[in-house]
Amino acid sequence: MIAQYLANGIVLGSSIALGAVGLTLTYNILNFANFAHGSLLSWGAYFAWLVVLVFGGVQSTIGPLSFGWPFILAIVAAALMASVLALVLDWLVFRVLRKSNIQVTLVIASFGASLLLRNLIVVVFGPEPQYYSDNIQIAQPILPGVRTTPDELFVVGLAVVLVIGLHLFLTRTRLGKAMRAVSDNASLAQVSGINVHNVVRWTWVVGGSLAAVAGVMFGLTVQILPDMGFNLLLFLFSAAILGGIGSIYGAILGGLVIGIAADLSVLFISPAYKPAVAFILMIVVLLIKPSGILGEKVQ
Amino acid sequence: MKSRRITSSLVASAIMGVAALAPLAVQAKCTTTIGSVMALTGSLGALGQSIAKGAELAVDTVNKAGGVNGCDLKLSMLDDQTSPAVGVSAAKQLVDIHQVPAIVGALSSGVSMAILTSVTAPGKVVQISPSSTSPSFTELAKSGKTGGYWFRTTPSDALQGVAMAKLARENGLKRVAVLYLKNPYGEGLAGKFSEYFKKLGGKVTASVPYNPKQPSYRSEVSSALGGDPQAVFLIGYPGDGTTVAREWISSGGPQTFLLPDGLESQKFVDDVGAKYMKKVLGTAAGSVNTPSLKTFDSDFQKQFGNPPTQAYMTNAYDAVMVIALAMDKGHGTSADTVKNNIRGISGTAGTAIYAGAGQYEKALKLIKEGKRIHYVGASGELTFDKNGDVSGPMAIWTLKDKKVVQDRMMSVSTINKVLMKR
Repeated sequence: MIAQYLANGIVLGSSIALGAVGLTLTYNILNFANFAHGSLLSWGAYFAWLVVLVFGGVQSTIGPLSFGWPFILAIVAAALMASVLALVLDWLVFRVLRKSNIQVTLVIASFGASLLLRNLIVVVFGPEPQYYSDNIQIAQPILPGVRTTPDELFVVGLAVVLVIGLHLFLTRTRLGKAMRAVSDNASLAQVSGINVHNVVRWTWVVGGSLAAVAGVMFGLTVQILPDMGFNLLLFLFSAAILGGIGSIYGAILGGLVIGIAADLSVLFISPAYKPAVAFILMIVVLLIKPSGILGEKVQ
Repeated sequence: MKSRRITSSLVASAIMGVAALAPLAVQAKCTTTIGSVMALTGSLGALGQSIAKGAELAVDTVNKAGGVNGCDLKLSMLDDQTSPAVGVSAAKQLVDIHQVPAIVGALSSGVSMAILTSVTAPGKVVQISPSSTSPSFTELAKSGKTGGYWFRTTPSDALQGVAMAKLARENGLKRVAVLYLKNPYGEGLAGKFSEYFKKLGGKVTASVPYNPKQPSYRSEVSSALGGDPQAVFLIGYPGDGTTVAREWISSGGPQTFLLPDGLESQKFVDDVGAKYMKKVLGTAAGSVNTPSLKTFDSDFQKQFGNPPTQAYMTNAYDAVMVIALAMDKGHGTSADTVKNNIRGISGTAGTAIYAGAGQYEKALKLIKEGKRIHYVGASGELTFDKNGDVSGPMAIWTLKDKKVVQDRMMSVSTINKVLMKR
């Protein structure tokens, strides 16, 4: 029975982890907590839904999965469109506000942008929940005591691939190295010839894409709803903080820990208190290690 | 969300416009406003949009027949977004600013309870809910905390829980898992069902609460699946209920569903997928086939161009009618007039008054002559007991050709027989 809850937690944790990476990335490089990140998640899910609709819904399917090649294309398209949306948002709102040195302005502005983006979804797509496919996959046993659907395995697999890709991007490419440099010390990076504006743009692209993929993954395994990103936002923040804000690997770890802890808690306490578990865990970790699990020392 | 509110207010003003033009309308110089708080958006939004029309139809009917005490009746309706916090602030606005003597609503038991305990009971304003079925209201009324200002035109879930337990046993189910929304509605219904299912020889294999708006319900479903149930009794509203039901199916749970009134919704069935619901046993507040129901159906068709299909539309209609008649009977518009006269225009004594403008005119005449009347609602007899509860039959619903249909009624005496069982 424990194994089943563990598997449930890993599936949810994968979506949270990808979302939290984008959040921590923008925090690190742009230096503010972006509340609009949740809405990028929702928009990503809806963008993919649009593309799937254009292809006439989900018809042919790949193996045991509930979707076909158009869906893979939809994920890529959603990532692109969410990146554009993030860049537009940056250009319209944050670019202007970055000139002021008051961090809280950016945070509040992002909160406003989040509300705007969320309600825009309701206007454009309506308040009802949507699904990529009307078919429901029946979970199959994959290990003794563990049942999952092929879609859930796909989601976990995709998350692993993206995390490895992100790691290679940050350590092996010029741009990735530049991003890490800016995150460590923006002024020093600028002095040594790194185009900070360019790095900021790419940060939005990477963060927006990861948010979109997380949204699609969540929509595939649960449902697509205008509120989905907003409802997930608290979990994203606690994952990022738990792992150590600014640390990419910390965010991944944080996401998995939050997902698994919430699902495992059902074994010990009533599910009615499940939402509290993630936050209690976060508080406990911060009391023991204020910089988060993988966070660097607080300066 | 905004656009919906505008649409519904447009509809409301259009109705008023029609009422003003109707030849029957007596020129009234004054207006009596009553309030209403309903879920027009949020997880109950799909049901609420329809239920609101039942109340609007009643207001129109009353005004066609000359209004309340010769004044036009006006319904000031606010959206509670199926959220207790929003509902309380809407009710406060109605009581403090519009100074309404009575509020029709809310729909969700959770919202109604919040409004009752923090606005209407302390503020001594009458509250009549068309659809809040939690047994906890009866408990509250028994302890005297409602001050007698609480009424509802739908039977309590104490009856629905019993009916569902009996229905499940009739269909040969022995082991049932309960997954319920953690609010007064879910807790009340789950509790009553479990109590009587056990008495009837069944076994509740797991009783698992869930919170609204969670990112996933996999673990809740996993723990409800332990104990090898034959069916699941899923208590909730269409929004999150859909996710839980899909998760249940996906996790390999048996596709036999026991569903309460909160999920009697075509949208819910369509979103989950009727092909995955092999067997559906549903309960909801039923109606006795009163002559009022026919009038309600035809009036509704005339007004809105489509037949009334949603549960609780008649209950909302009756709630408004009861308030209007109580005001007429007491020759006043205050909350206490409504409260003290509701039982004087319902029950079984005197001449029966049915739904519709003609019957309402007849009621006004009889009241003037000092004769006793009792209103027979479109939803049933409406005999309010000392706790503000009505008793009534339960409707049994199921799926036929992927459509939600009401099958039959389970009578009050059948339910009472189970209740007597020790």
